[in-house]
Amino acid sequence: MLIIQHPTDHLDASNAANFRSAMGDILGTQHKLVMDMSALKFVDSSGLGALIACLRETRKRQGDFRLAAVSTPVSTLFDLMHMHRVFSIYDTVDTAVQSYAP
Amino acid sequence: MIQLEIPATMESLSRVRWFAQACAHVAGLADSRADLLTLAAVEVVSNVVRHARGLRRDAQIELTGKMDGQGLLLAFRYTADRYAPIDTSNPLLSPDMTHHAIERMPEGGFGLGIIQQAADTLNYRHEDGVNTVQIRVRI
Repeated sequence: MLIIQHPTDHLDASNAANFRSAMGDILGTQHKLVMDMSALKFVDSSGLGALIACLRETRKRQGDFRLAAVSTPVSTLFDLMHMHRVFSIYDTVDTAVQSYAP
Repeated sequence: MIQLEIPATMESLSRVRWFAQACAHVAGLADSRADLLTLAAVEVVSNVVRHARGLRRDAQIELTGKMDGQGLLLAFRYTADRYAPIDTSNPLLSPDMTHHAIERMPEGGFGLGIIQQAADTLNYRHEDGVNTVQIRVRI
């Protein structure tokens, strides 16, 4: 299980391609991930598409891509897009990590 | 009125966020509505950068935010061919993709749905080579 942190406070059309590229390497070997979303203050449709791509890749390998500590501004997008029905979302990184325990 | 001119590039999106937040602050929008407005503004600009036809490499986008009798109006003006990636004649698009199984869920193409959900009205016009996209939030 691996915890991912994004280095900037935004994931949008300006950097989503870089994120996808970086995650492509990780997803080749790791199938159970937690994305610490606490530092992310803005995600747009491109960023959301990149997160969905990560989820799809992990699910293909019987893994998961779980989100933790989603900030209020990002929750606005997630609510609009009903993403709580798509991703497993946890209040804290700890609870997300614990959710993988057998 | 708040005005900003930015290069028509994805690197400008951080300035678009700043602009939208500043307009929302002046208009007295609650944080949640300010966040939606910011999202809509970023989607408009990234849509222009990605899809506008005949956009020069050094093209600029002029952003204007002002209050009028109907609320807060944001306008995005840029010189390019007529092209309305934002088809305002279509009914409201639902950004709810959750009826798709994850393996079939789209990874893009929902920017327009976000704009239409986040703003109360959305308009596009092309006059004398200048495209204008307007989004309005009622106060």
